[in-house]
Amino acid sequence: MESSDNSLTMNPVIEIEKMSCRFGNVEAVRNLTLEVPSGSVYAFLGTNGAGKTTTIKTLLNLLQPTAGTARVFGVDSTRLGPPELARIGYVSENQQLPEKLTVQQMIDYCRALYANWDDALCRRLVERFALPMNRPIRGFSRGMKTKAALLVSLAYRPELLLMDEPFAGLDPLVRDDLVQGMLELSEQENWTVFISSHDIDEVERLADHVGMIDNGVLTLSESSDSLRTRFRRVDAIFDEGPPPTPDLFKDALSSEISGLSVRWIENHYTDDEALGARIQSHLPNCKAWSSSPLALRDAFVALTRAQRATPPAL
Amino acid sequence: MKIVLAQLKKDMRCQRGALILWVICLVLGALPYIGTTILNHSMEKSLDVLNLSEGQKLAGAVSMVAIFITCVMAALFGMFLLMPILVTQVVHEDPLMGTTAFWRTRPIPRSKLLLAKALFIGVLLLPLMAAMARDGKIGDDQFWPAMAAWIAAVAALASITPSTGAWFGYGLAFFFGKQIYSGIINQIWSHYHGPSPFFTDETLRPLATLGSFLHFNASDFYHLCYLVGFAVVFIHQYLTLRTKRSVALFIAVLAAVGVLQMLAGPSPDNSNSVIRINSSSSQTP
Repeated sequence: MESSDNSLTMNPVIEIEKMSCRFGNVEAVRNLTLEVPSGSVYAFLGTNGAGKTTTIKTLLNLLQPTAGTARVFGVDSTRLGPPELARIGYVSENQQLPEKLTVQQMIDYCRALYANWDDALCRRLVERFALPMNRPIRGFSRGMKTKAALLVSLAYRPELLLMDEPFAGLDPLVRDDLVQGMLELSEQENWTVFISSHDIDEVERLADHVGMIDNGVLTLSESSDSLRTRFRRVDAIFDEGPPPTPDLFKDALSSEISGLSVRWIENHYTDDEALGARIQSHLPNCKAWSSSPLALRDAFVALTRAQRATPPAL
Repeated sequence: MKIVLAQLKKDMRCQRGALILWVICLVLGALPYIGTTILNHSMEKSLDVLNLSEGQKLAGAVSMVAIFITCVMAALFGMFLLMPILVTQVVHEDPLMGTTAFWRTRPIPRSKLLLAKALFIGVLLLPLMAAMARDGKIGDDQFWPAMAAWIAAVAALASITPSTGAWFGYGLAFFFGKQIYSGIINQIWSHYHGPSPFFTDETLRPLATLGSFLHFNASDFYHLCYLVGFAVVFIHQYLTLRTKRSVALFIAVLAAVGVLQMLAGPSPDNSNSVIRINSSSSQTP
């Protein structure tokens, strides 16, 4: 796993320690350790089948870990009950909503479940998401169902919002609607959001912490700022002569030499000065070089590929 | 209680269509009883006032019988088809299996969900209970206790299955499994002990005494056993969500009551293997 910064250990709302989840011969999550600090928006990224949904379901006590522990609000996930669930909002593409009900009826139902249900916020969200109140949910499109689920997961101001692939199968307009709505709320609410997705572009706008999981193994967990600083795409052009030595790519996630140019993704970038010195020492015939920040999507792809090329020791 | 009522209201909203149909069947089923009660007092007078001919009276009687039969058929349809459907639907509305149920991510205590579902099923069983109360006993014709046991079986089976399809499949499997199991055990018992029953009237004398006090007969006793057994499965599944153990309990109930019935031996008229306690002996203290 890549390095994690210190802020992650402060007031964690979610603490997962050496957690494994096995289904028969398949180990969906392997030795997972991560912490989600209070007040953060944590993006949990991974490919399909990486172990994201299993992790979230374990946090909600829908599944039990086969090894290790998961704690939410300091309570072991296997002991999670109504008092903790009253503080958690959950939106998932797989959740079965009471689809025979209308939005109004679902609101009436959910209002009775939460002591701190906020009618004013609920009305605002209904307006924001433009949901028809008197139509049964089963007739809704996928995007509208997600909005309805989000509505009844936000109106009681949860301290923790767990979202499992909320953007899956949604058109860009609806995605933007959801992201905008969440960004607006994030400014007002002191909540913690744990969002799993493989729609990295959407998540990048929301997240201040990022975790990446692949084949059940956590490959990275750190703040977005640290991530943006640490990863850099570097392009260098060199004259005729010896190609760069392998030591130049010691910390690189990927490297690619094409003719007299070389491109790599720097894994532990600190500043241009240190990088320039290293390039000079390993590629003396370098004519020019440049470094640019890496998008989260590119970092994710590079990390996942690097992880798969060198599987972790068991 | 707020959560229980909200859950009950939600269930009633979700099953609105079937519930309306059920109420219509119930009203139709009750019409002959209400009709005969009212008409018994005033019919003779009314007919005299109308001065009908014998033919007209006969035609009227035939029409009444036709209406009566229609009403009874509607009631039977409501009881036998709609009630199990309603019970299965209301349990599957908030599934106890799998990881996608809405209620499992909401602050709903299992005990309150159980109470809400039991209340819903209780409302459905209310007419049965009213009929029992009207008769002043569980029932001579074995229909009402059998119906209550049947509904308990439906609810218990629904609680350990994820969908209506699975409910039907499991139901068939349990039904045929029980028949095969009963046949085998019966053969083994007959081989070693002959046709003599393990239970006799004498063995069951204390039960018969209790039965006379509570006004139930041997068949009611089996139905009561099923009712209690399936209720235990239902409650266990709701409170623990341990499906494998609940399935084992369900099978155990079927097996235990089945063995009890078989050990009582075949009845003289060969209709059912039930404990034979005739009404005169059951009434004797």
